[in-house]
Amino acid sequence: MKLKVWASYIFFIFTIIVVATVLSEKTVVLTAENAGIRAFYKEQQQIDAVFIGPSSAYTVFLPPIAYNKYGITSAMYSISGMVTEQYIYAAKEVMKYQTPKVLFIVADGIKPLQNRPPSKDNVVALRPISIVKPSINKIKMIRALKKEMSFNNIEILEYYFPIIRFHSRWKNIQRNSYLSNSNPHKGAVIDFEEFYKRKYTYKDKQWEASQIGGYKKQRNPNLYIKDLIDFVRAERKNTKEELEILKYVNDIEDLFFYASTLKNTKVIIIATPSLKYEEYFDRIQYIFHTAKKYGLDSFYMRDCEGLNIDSNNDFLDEYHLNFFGAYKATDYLSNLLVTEYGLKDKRNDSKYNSWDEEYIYYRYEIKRRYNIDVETGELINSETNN
Amino acid sequence: MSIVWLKLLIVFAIAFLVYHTVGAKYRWMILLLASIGFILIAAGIISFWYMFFAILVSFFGSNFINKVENNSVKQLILGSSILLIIAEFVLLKFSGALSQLSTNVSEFFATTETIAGDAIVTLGVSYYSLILIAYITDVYRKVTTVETNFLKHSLFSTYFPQILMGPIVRHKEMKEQLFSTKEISFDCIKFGVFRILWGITKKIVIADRILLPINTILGSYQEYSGMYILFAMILFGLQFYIEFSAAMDIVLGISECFGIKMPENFNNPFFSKSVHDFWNRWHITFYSFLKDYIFYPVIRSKIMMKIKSALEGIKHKWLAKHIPLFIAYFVIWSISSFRHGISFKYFIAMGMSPCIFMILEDIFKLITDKVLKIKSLKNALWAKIIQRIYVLTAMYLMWFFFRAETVSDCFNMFEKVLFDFNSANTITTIGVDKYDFGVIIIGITLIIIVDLLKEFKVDLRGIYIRCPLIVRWCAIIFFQIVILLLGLYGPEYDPKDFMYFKF
Repeated sequence: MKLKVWASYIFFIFTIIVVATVLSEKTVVLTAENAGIRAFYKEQQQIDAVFIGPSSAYTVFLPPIAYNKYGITSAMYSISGMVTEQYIYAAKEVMKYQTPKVLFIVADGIKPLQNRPPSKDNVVALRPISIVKPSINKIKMIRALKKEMSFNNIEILEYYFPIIRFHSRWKNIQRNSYLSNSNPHKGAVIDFEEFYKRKYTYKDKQWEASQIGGYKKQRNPNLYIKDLIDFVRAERKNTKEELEILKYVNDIEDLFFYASTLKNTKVIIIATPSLKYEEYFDRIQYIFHTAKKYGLDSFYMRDCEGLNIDSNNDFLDEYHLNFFGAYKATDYLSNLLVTEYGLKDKRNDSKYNSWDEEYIYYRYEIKRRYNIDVETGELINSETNN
Repeated sequence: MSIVWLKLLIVFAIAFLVYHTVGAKYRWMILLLASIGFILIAAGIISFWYMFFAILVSFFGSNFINKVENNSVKQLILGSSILLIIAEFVLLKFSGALSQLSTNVSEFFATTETIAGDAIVTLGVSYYSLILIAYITDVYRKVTTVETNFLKHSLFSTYFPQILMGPIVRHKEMKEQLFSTKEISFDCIKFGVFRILWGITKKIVIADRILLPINTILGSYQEYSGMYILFAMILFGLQFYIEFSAAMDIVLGISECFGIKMPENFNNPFFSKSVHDFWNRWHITFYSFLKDYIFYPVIRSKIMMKIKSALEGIKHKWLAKHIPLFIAYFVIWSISSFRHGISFKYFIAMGMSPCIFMILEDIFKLITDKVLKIKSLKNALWAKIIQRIYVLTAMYLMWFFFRAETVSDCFNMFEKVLFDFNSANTITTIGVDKYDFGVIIIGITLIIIVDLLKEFKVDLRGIYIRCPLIVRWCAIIFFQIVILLLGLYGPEYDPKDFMYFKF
């Protein structure tokens, strides 16, 4: 009897876990904004470049355009809200399914806890985790974040089983894209109207005033950490926060150490163009400085000659490029990948025919929805269109 | 479903495993530990001490009653023990109301909400108070044996599945089961788990979903036509039943997993033939408590005997029989309304409405009995349908008052139902979309089918237990999917507690 009870009990718990996991997978991942994120899962060992980072990563590079113009296969592990602790697990998740030639780590999200908006009660904190397939790596990622999010044991269940938060989406489950989970559009972001339509106008004239590289402050990058600690000591008088800064330092070191051990993948740390560069310039400098210690390449995209980002037309907001800015950045980075890192053109390889088909779909959808020609990266003149 | 119920399920999950692992003679101790643990994590230490006081009173009261020989002393102990328990109940449940009463009596009849103490502090007070009153009275009446082991008495009083919403159990039917060392049939566990899942499905998939249109419409009933209000009220009656019976399914299912069968609290009330019959099928243990511990003592009291004799003296046999009956109805239903809250609407809904209908049924009983004795009517379907419609109308009248915020709101809603036929609003304005509505329809249909089968004495428990293993597990997985996917829970929803939880 006891054995029977134990066996039934364990099997009951097991079935709940399986049901919750499967339902989470089917109802949670493919939201409109991040429908393209899981491409690296779908295209096993076919991706040459992967971007890891927060939302500023998927608004800086457009995989369908990179494929169409340069024949580069690329994918995103990028979602708004990605925080420092998640990067290493994200990198490991990518490396489980791909051996990319180049792995871009977008440093914008590598922030100390003190610089982040509070994530508690915020669905943003859940998204970067919910896109990860169920695995030991995912459990480690959640455990790493648990302290930062300061959730109780019941709330943390949402992270293991996002169905708890997102189950109201069952009404959409009838849509084929939800059921088949088969349409990640090769990393393309389609259903994101603001990205294609909004042109943020920067009120501050600082951008124009500072020429490329002109804003640089010549100082020791390590001072960033010292400043953080000084600030905590002076303002907060809280040793717990000092420990968090040290943890931040360790997280970066761990990430770059792991990156430096990848044998067939070149890791590049980048910071995307931002109108608020002054807010995090010291931090980025410190990150780049640390990357250098581990022999990793890094660059700030605003420094790149030939990128020609226009502060009046190419931004979605202060921290993200819009489609027109991303188009320029994609062109620039793709060219770099081909010329500097020797990525090969896959366009004539029949193995990659699905990329051509997906591009046609992407071009059609973007034209239909936003009246944009992705061949030229420009709005279609309505008269010409007619 | 609020966090308290989640805690109940967590405590159950832990206690279940330990209970079925330890030796049979230690099982009751596991239940006691689980009960204390549940009270502490669900309600806190203050609630625990209040409960402890009631347990102490009932323990010493019952043991003294058992020891003393003098009947007057016994009665004195019985009376003072019950008074102390009632005093604690009143203190916990109506402290807010009492203070308000003393400050402004005139506002009393216009009060918009049930005035009750903090739900956390008063966790289970109205259930354990009634259980303990019944126990002491049963010891006095020698209906049950006295419990001399304080810990065992504590378990009977605090048995955690019954604490939140009953049922109001009797010591006689629980003592053997709680402390039994017999092997528990695996069938109990099979059906217990199934019943818990069915209860959770009824609550968070069906009842909470029905609440959306009810709250939308009745929350601003002034903007809706009478048809919508009637529709919402029909849903309210269903929701009330589904939710309350769901709680009982969870509680009884949990208990059955420990091999302890608690009394049923519902027996298809919507199939009742009369208001009397309804109350024998709805919240059965509460009504049976009212009958056994208030109604019959009132009927048999000296003053009632005197009234009866006086009326018999003037050769009014019918009155002699019925006047004490009507007074007893009035007493039990007044107490019932008081238990739900100090509010005029509860006085009408849970007090006077059932009381008046019962009196009317007794008055017209001679006529209705004669009509129903006509052969062609006895088994006529239409006669049965009319009976059911009458009962439902009577109960819905009661529920109108129960659901309305105030008595004047209730009359306004009645007015709209009777005279406002402007149905400008469409289905999209009732707070649910077509998908939710579909779930509601399917859910209600399923519950009606189950209740119909029960009414026709189909042994659903037996059928489920005899099902092959694979079928039973498919059913369990089906419920897991339905609850996880269709349930209204999690941070996107405001958790709705069981309506009857606050009483």
